[in-house]
Amino acid sequence: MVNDKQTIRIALASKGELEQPTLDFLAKCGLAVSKTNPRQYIATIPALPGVEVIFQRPPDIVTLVREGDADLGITGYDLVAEAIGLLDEDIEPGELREDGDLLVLHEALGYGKCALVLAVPEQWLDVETTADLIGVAAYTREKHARSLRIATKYPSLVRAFLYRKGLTSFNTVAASGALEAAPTTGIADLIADISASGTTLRENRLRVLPDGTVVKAQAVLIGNKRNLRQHEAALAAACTMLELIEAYQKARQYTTLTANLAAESAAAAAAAISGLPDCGGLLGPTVSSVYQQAGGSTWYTASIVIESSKLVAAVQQLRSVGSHSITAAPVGYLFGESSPLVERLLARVKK
Amino acid sequence: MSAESRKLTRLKGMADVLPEEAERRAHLAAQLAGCYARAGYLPLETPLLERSELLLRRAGDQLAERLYSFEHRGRQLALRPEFTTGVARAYIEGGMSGTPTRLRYSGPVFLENSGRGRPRQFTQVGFELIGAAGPRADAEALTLAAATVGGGGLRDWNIEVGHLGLVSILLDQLGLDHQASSLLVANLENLNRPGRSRLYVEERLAPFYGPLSDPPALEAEAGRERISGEAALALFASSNDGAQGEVYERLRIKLGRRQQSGLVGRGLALLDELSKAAGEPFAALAAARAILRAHGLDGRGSAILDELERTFNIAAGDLPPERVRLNLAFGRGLLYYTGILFEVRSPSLPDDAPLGGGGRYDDLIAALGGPPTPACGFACTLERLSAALTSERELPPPRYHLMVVPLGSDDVAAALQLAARLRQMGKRVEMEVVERKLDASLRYADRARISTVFMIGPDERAGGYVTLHDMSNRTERRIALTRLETVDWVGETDGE
Repeated sequence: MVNDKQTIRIALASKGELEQPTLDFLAKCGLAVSKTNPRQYIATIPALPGVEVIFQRPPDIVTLVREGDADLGITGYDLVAEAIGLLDEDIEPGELREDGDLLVLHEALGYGKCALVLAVPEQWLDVETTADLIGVAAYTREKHARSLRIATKYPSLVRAFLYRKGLTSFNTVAASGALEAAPTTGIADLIADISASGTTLRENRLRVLPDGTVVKAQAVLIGNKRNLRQHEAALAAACTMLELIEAYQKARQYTTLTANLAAESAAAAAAAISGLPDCGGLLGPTVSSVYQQAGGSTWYTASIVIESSKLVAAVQQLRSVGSHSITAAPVGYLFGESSPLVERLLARVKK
Repeated sequence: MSAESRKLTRLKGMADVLPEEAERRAHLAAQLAGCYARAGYLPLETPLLERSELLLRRAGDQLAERLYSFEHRGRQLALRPEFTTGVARAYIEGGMSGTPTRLRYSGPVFLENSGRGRPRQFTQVGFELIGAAGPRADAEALTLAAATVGGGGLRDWNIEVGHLGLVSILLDQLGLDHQASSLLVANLENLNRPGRSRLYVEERLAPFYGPLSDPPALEAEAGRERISGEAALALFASSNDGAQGEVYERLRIKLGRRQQSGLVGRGLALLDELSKAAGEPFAALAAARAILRAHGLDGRGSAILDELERTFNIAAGDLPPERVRLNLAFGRGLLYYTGILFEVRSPSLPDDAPLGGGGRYDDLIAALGGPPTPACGFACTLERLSAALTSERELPPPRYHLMVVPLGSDDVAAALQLAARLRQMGKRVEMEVVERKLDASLRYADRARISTVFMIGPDERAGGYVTLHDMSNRTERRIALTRLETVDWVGETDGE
């Protein structure tokens, strides 16, 4: 597949657990995917003209973006981490994760959360932590003259993780089907697999090791550095996506409150509200006059943006200064003075 | 963008060595090879690719973590991360048996490195002395390692020496089992590395042995009781099948290991004491003797200290004691050492990584399936030695090629004859192969750092001479072709 200069390509999950949540997420960010094309694996995002959506299997998305056949993609971080062989502890918080041309533009889209965990048979009473596996490996070598076998679809990550923990005498066994059965069928001694809640593992009489989380994952936005560097429109599309995603994610933490209150002047109304502990707003209240049908005291409408977690406290405080008919509405997007993720990307791509 | 027009770049951590540096390195590598060859070492070549299992059998965790290893047609393969293991394998497979067998080698090795921008391919030049034990063999390894850096022309360097044989004997005398002892040895590096300490090692060992500093707390003991109690109950409840029996056996071993906790703490304290007594070799030996006496551990340990003293006495002529720091708690990332071990460093390099290292590995050949054979060796990282040399002095850009320029197309045959004659004299001679004006040829010669240009035209051919253009001062003079071998050329230095 060769990408020409006109179209910008973004690869999205075609099946599995990421498919619908990705479409829902993009729609909420104002990037709804329109599937009008009769060809089922191709679509568009009307908010991003010139961008073509291609639907692919999540593991293939990593390859397509790494090779530059897609400029952007949304897939699971577990697959990206395996491809770039990077453990979480090797990364500073906020540091851009990358390998060659593969860049992680946004590392926390907030859905598709799961973890790659080590799980051992329930009856292994001698294994409490991963360090105990060193003893099991030594025993297995001595007793059965073979290495400890670990079934996994993530050999690079598992190897790096266990080496770091001091376990070197083991083999990974590639397995494509249901890994949970591997210890029972004797294909492997233990497994390293993706788990959202651990239920499937428990049902198969496997126990997750408390310090055996290899990588924590969720959906991520990835891009091809070379393409973004050479293709201005692709970089612009990436920045637009990042801006909207960031503004949407930030907005979810905030609520707009509107309240009517009687006051002598707009300034007095503003002062009354600004004095309340949870009603400072991002900058301060916006106050405007209410033109009443009948005479009486002067009324003003004040609106403020507050942290959603402080909603009830803020409402009670507004009541205490005589506010009436308070309405609360979710914030659609919240744009700051700049977008840290866009700046991080531009700094990397333009270097 | 079309896939074909894409600019392909080299892999992260892999370097292109451009001609000037490559020339310098080749020269340095030849110097080192000559140094080993003159001491009777014969060249050996081993494959870049080996079975991962071979390379991992005696490698420490730090090496294992960084091995370039991959699956190919169902087999786990790896790029060699160092030479010694491959050389030991080749010694066995090649049926070499001389006592001693002296081998030298040179070539690339690969280590994955998570640090950004750090190289992942290095050139190692080294030697192995196989089939000889004792102070004289150890002293040869030490002095040859010193000759490696000294012979390269490095002025500021030092060598840190330790002895894993001593460490193993002391830990054994304290009563530590093999596993506990190996874990401590694997952590020696952490005991000595700047920014790390005994406390760091204690934290690393805690998952296996619990807290080491304090006597085992009552709660911890109670915790152990609880585990074994639970285990016994579970075993009662389950049918006594084979798998469950194994778990029980493993649990028994694990609980036994916990009882080593106090001994591991004592071992670590002793190593910490030895590490703090490090210094000039003869003073450090005296301090170590006192420490062993204080712990009631003289005997086998003292015999090793006597051997070390003999080694340093033998080596003293070629390895001045002021260059040596003896640290008896010194360790390297590799686990195959069984005796003396050492690293050479240059203070002029900004980071702490060594220029090279080596030591004695008397168990390795047997562990790889050969007969029990004592051996020791050393390998130097060429890139680091080259960097250390460059940091000590600015090297002038070399000017050592000659160039022959025919002034017209009728002069080409004569020019080729002249070039051949100069080459026979051992000179490096470039032939002008581009048809261009003399000025352009001279501009090229300047960029290409040619020292002297030999020009041949109709006049030269008729007169039986050649015109020399000295690139350093742009002067010209004539030399009769008959005197070519005898005349002294100013401005020309030989590259070899």
